[in-house]
Amino acid sequence: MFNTHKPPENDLPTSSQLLKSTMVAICVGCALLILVILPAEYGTDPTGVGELLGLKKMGEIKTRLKQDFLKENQVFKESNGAKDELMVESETGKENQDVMELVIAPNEAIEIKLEMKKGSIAKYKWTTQNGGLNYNLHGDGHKGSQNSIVYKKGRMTSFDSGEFKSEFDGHHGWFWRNRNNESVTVTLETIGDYILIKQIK
Amino acid sequence: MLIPVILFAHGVTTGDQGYIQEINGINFVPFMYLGAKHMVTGYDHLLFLIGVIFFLYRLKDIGIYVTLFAVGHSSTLLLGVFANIHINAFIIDAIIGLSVVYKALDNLGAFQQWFGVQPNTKISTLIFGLFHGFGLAAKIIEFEIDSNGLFTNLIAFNIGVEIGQLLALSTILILISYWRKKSSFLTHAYSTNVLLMILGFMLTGYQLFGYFNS
Repeated sequence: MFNTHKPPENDLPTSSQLLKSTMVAICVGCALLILVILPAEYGTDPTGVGELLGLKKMGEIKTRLKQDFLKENQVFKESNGAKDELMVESETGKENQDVMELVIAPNEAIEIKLEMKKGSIAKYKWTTQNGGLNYNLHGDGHKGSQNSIVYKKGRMTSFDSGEFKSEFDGHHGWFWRNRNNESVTVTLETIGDYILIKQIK
Repeated sequence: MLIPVILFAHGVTTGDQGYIQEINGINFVPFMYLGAKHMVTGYDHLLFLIGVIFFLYRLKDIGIYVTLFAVGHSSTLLLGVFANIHINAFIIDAIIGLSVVYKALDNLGAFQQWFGVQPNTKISTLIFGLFHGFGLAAKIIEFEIDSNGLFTNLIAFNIGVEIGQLLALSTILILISYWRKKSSFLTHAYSTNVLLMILGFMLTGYQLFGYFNS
């Protein structure tokens, strides 16, 4: 009936062999859980082995990302439906120009946004000192809006320049995360038809 | 002028993918871990492995078949990522579902009954290994791994996949071995392979539905 035949009894492992294998499996499973999985998933590292292997950092980053995600969702929910007040009425054709210098501690993030009307253009240039940054140049609509857009992103970057055109009314700008062990300074220059520049976090 | 990408959800990417997008350069052990995790938690790969070793009880045979499977999926994993062969993940996963169906039918002796021949089980394991590898490659491409240190990280991921496979296999083997000693094994071998086939069809349908809805 099958593509094989019944195996002879003495080809199969004995009960005590199987029991031994089960014990070994339980021990290996528990060891891996403590040494590898807990650090890599939750950043919990009771033995220090996870840190040695570089897995604790993975757990810490994932835990942090999850917190960020929940926080953003919360903010989004709270602001949903509420009306956003336009801070300053822009005079069309008038250009703003700013220079900012910010220090970002290890594992911390900073977000700088330009408030812009749809179709406005901003030029920018930023450089870092003491290491590169992970960045995400993106835009979010005003409170209650579902608009969200990514213009550009990258890892371990120490210089970027260019220009972008805002796709909708809202806040458009940079999210920087420092994954170095030292503080990094970023200098941002912006020029363009934006209403104001502000630090979100 | 930059060309923007419209997003449906808000900015933060979480989990393993979020982690991968935050890191840079060679991260050997973390990528090994991710490879192993993908294998141990990947039910489609596990179902196929259950099918493959269902009637194998000599360690030597198990070693041969698992090696064939590993050779298959390792080569397409690397090829898929480096040649950037982006086969639709739904289609690949649907084929992986069919590989489970195939193996269950093979175990049941269906090909002997229907066509009068027993297809070479080693060759089929190798060929389906190739498809499973494309599935792994699609997963990695989705991860958007940084190009800095990509080769080393991929090797690490691949080693992890093999370690994960070994761990999963050992567990499956212990469980099946307990069962194989009982007379109920052969009684229920038929229905178990039918169940395997059901799960395979289910996976295939699930992926195809995803394909036509995406």
